[in-house]
Amino acid sequence: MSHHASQRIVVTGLGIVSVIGQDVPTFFARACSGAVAIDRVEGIDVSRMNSDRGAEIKDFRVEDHFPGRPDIAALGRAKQLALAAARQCIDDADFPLAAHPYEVGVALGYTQSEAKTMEAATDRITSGSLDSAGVAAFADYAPQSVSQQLAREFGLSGPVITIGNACSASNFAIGAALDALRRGEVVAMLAGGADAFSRSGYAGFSKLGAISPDVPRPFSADRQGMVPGEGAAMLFLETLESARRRGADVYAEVIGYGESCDAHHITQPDPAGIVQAARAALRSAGVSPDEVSFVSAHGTGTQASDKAESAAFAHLFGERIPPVSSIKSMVGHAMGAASAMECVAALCSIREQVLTPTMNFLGRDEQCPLDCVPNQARPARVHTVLKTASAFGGNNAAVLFRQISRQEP
Amino acid sequence: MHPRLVITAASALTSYGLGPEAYAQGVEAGPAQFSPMIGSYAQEILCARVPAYDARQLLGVRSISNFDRLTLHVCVAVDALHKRLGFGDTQQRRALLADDRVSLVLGSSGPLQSIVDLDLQTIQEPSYVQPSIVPNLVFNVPASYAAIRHGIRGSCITLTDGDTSSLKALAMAATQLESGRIDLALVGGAEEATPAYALYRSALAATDGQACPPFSEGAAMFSLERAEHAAAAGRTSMAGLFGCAQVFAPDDPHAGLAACVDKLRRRFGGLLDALTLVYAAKDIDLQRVGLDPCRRISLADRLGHFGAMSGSVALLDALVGPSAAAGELILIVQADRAGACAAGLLQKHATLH
Repeated sequence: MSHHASQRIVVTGLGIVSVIGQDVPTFFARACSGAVAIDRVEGIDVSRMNSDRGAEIKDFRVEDHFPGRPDIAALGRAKQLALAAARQCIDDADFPLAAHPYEVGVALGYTQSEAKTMEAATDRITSGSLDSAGVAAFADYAPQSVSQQLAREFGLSGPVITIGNACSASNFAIGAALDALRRGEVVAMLAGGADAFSRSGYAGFSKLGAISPDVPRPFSADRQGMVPGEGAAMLFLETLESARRRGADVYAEVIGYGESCDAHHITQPDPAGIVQAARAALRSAGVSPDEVSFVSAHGTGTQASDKAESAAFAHLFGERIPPVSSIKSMVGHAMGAASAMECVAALCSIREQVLTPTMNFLGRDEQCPLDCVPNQARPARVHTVLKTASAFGGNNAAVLFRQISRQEP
Repeated sequence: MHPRLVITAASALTSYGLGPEAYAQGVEAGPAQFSPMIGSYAQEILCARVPAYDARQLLGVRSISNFDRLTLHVCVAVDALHKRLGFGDTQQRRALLADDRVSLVLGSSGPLQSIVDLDLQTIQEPSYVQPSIVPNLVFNVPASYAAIRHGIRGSCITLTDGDTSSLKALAMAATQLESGRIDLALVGGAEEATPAYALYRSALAATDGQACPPFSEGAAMFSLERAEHAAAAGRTSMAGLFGCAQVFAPDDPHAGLAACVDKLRRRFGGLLDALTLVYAAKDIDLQRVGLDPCRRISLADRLGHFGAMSGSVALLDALVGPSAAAGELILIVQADRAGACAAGLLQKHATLH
């Protein structure tokens, strides 16, 4: 086994299904316009929970993405979301998949994955009606059934890697894809995350008092929590050499990756772990902190997470913290899909040279002394973007993107 | 050709007891003992459980009420692995190896009982949900508890890729080491024998129109490091890992495993021709996979299905079981029913003393 860190990896395709857009142009345009899509939860019974705010994609119809495919319409919601995002991403990349058997794979991150399938089983257990059909249906809950569905649909016969690292899982998936490419194990990878809205997840966050009663206000004074959401986002990764050879349109280069574990507390984040992952990403790219022009933060809107991230950024960047933004203020927290969604936004920021805003900002919090691009998108020189993500268990992963010009050798 | 990565210690919880020695003795004595899964949601299912152990005593803590069965297995296995490495406690390891140079990579189907229990509590009454168990919804939390206990800061990852999970975990740990991100990986697989896991195994079998075969639970963990790093630390190699390969081949596991073998052959050439032992399910035709006839072991026949920890149990058997001799070249192959295929090529260096 060998590891070729010198191999340059680029993004040549994007796809997304989010509460503010089910294609990349709509998603990014609405993100830049500050569209906040937090609403009352309708898909699950929240009448006995501590909040009723959520970011469900209520107008998602898989038929719009796969017309004439009743087989896909019969799949679980996480698979449908993932397939819809992957379809866009594969079409966008236009890579000759069939020419590379066993050399194009999938890396997918998730938190709860096909939660609604599990909920159907628990409903039947509760009512005493778990019959043989119900038992068989539970197989569809397996998280790898989502990544394998992507592989089956698009004929991706390389490695399929399914990572259960929760809210940072899709950054971990991008890291796994990057490793596979640099080792020469594959010629391209589809990487991202997908999660469907989850009853038990919502109940858990509700019981922890983590859900905002209105909207998420990352890094803001008077922030009151996060808001659970759902969705899927995908990136298509290949070598720069491959992209150049086939004349592919390149969004940006993935120049660095780092991961860490806080080893501190199961729910309380530790700034040191975030710094460690970010530094590892910077070090792997040979980039210094002052070269970072924009940070796409984890930015959930909870007191503890935003405070820890702010402390981490102060430690990492010193007095010159670049602009830091969180699209979770608009799309909620899409769990395992969140960081992939944020990568899509970051890559569009590089392409369009505009910073997405952190919406719902009420005023500066002393614990979060950041320029979080409050409430309004901002044109800016966006060259190098650090995308950080954290999760329960203290698991952090950071991805570093850099603008690449057509003139570059 | 010498492998660049070596396995220097192993720990195990199986139905034969705690420790690799218990496994070695048990597997030589006879097949696993199965009994009906208590509290099963569906049909009666047979499983081989890890014998009851005193987790508080083994882990040296009083507060384990938040730990579900999978978390206990993982934490006990990781604790034991530390001791096998000669690290009596975290401080001792830390003095020799910084926290951020150690990772934990686990293959598992996840804490399914915690997930089902939390949803059942939610249906009954959301206010009954216990806050302390909410994190147990997350598939990576069992490994994360072990990482917290031992200050493992390099990374902590859980892969859920069906029966190939722990071989893929081994491949990921190898990549972390070869990229230079870490110096020591604690890697392996774990599963829980719970009603929710039994439901999952039943569901997998039902989709194939079959009855659920007996399954086993536990954990098998290994320390993987670069050969020169192990030598510098004075740790003896139990086995060398040449490499892993993985593909996805729905509907044709033979084609998938043949592709894995082909990938390994391109990297390691004639080594594949010198194989003397293959771990493979009994329905795998080795010739169709591109392998010459050699000894093969199908553990599931005697021990039940290990699910996501299948690859790590095969590795455990190769390292400490009676089947493999020091010096043998060994291939472990796994093909998941859905199409995931993986293979790992290793050479046994020493027999467990």
